[in-house]
Amino acid sequence: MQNDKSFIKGFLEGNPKILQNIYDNSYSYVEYYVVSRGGFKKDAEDIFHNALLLIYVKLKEEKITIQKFDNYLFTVCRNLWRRENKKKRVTNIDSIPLVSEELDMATFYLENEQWELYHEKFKLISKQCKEILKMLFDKKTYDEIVQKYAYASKIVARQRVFKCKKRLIQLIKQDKRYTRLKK
Amino acid sequence: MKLNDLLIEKLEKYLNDDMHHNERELFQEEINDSVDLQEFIEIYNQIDTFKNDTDWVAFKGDAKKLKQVTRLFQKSDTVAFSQKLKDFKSNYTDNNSTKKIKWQRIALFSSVAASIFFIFYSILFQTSNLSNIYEQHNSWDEIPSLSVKGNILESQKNKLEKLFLSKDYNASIILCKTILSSSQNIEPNILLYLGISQIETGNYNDALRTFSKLINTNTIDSHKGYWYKAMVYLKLNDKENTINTLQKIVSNDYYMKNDASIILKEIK
Repeated sequence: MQNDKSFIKGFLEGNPKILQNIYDNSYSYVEYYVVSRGGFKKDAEDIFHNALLLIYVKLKEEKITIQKFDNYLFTVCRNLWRRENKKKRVTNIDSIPLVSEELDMATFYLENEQWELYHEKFKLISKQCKEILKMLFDKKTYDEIVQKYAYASKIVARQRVFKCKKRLIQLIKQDKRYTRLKK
Repeated sequence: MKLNDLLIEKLEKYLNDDMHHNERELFQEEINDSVDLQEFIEIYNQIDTFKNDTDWVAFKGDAKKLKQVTRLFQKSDTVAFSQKLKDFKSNYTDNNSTKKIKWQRIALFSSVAASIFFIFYSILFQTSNLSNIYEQHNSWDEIPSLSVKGNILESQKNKLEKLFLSKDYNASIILCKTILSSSQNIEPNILLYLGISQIETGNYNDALRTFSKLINTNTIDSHKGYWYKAMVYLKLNDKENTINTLQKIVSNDYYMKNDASIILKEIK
């Protein structure tokens, strides 16, 4: 139901039945995700609202097709929370600049687009590259990479990581969206 | 400037910290003059954080682009949609509260009915023991569903729920352990499924350990661990630990407080 045209149309119109469906299906998971990571219920509510707003703008402006609405919504919520979390971590409450809500949402819109581009291209690199990079994301050491793939040394592991990242960078830069985000 | 093989080789040495001091300084100058090199290094470093659950890559693009997108959020239809969401949310909360009150009434009625039943049962048959009480309370209907949406819950979790519902508890235990060992997140629901599967397969000590782990997760559901621990103690006919655990539930207003107080009255 969530993927058909009438669902999207109803969502864009703010149809209460469709919104009910979205809240019933997804809100509790987002609240759980945020609260279990140190956030408050209010944070979860704001994140859910902002994620729906972003999807609204994206659907209106980019005419995108969303494969699974609830999956996509959850991913946007997760990214919003990661961003909020980082903001809280790196900024002192007194030094947070006064930014309009719209500007803040626009900044996230572009950051999320960048994240989606990286994520999409990551899926295209080789299986081994994905595994090696995932080890790095999981904060595994080069020694562990050497051990898992039986490389001769850490130098070889570093070379391999570099090649994987280089391939990913090529894929990212070749995409039109990269240029669009930068200019 | 396009990145040729020589530049790529230099980049690799630079990023892997394999350059001598002078070589590094010279290459740094080259980087300062090249947008391509700067972009490569920027993305190279961003790759490390884009999959990190606790980090986020900030936007460093063009200000004009940002202005353009800001306007989309200022458009009247976007503002109207935002208001619709807010209006819906306030009603949604109210609906939920109404539902909550309704369920609280049902729960209260059920508790009273259960109390009457317990008293009647005890007087009539005088055979009430901890195992009997366990049999009346070991319904796992309250366990949260795993067949949920989003990337956080993979197909393995959906499979687990199916196995659990089909009462294949041995297979559930194996799958729970697989999920727990591969997940980077705290998984209170999986611990719940694991503990109950361990009860159902007679691994009571393992179940107690699992529910202790659940309690130690400090998540919003961690207090449920006390109720399920009490179920294990009931099953083991361990009166002292049953009472201690149930008292903890009642005094701290934890999950299944009403049922806990009924059982306490029954077995004390």
